[in-house]
Amino acid sequence: MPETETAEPSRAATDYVPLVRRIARGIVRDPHDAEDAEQEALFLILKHRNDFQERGSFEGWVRRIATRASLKVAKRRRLWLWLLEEMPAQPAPAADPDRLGRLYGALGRLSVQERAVFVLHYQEEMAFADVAAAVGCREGTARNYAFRAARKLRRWLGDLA
Amino acid sequence: MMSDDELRSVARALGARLETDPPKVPVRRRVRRVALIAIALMLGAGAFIARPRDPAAAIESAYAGRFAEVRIEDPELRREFEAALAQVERAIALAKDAVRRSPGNTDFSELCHVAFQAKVRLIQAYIQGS
Repeated sequence: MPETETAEPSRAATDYVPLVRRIARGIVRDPHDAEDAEQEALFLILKHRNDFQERGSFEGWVRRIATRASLKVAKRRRLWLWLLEEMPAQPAPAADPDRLGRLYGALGRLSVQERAVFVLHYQEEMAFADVAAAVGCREGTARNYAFRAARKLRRWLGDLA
Repeated sequence: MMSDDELRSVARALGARLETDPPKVPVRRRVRRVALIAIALMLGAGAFIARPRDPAAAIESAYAGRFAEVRIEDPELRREFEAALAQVERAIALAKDAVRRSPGNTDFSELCHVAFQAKVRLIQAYIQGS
C-alpha cells in the first residue's frame, strides 16, 4: 500500500482527474460540493505544479491536495449537515444487489475525518503515514479513525456479500 | 460480519465506481430536534434582549413597597389627602411620560424621582398625622 510511484510532475494534471474525483466524491458526497472540491483541487494542482518538490510521489502530492480541498468543502458544510440530521436508512435486504450503494450510503453516516481516512486507506490504499499527512493528523489518530470507521461500517452493513 | 479484506475490496470497487457514476443514495434528512430547541432559545433570548424597555418603569421600581396604605377616618382630611395624592399622581404621570419620550435626559429622570419622593413624603405625612 505505500506509494511506489516516482515523481512525475510533467504528467498532465488532467490525468489525475479520476483520482481527484474519487477522493472528492468519497469524502464530500454531495455531488455539487464534490464538484467544487474537485475543481478547487485541480486548480491548486495546476497552479502549484511547478512548486512540487521531489520529496515524494507526485500522485501522493495530488492526493494530499485533493483530500485537503475535499475536507475544506466538507467542513464548510458541517454545521448545515449537523442541523439536518440524516434519518436512519431503512434496513436494506441482505441480498441487496447494489452493495456499493449501501457502502456509499453508510459512509455518509461517518464523521468527516473517519470518512476521509476510510476513503484514503481502504479505497485509495494509502499507507497510514500518508493518510495522516493528507488529513493533517498523527498516524495513530488516523489508525484510530480507520478502526472506528471500519467497525461502524461492519456493524451497519452486516454481511455485504 | 465482513472481514477487513472484504471491506477493502468493496471500498476499492466503490472508488472505481465513484470515478464514473457514483451510486445514487436517497438521503432523508430532518432538522435535528436539538437545533430546533436551540433556535427557539436563541430567538427567545433575542426577543428578551431586544424588548423595548420602559425607562420610567425602572425608576418606579426603585420606589416599590414604599407606598404604605393610608387609613384616614376624618372625611375632610381624607378628601384633602386624596386631592393632594391626585396632584402628585398627575405629576408622576407627566414625569414618566417625559422620561419615556427622552430616556437620555437626566433632568426628566430627576424630575420623575422627585415626583415619586413627593408621593412617599405625602403618604408618610398623612400616616403620621392620622
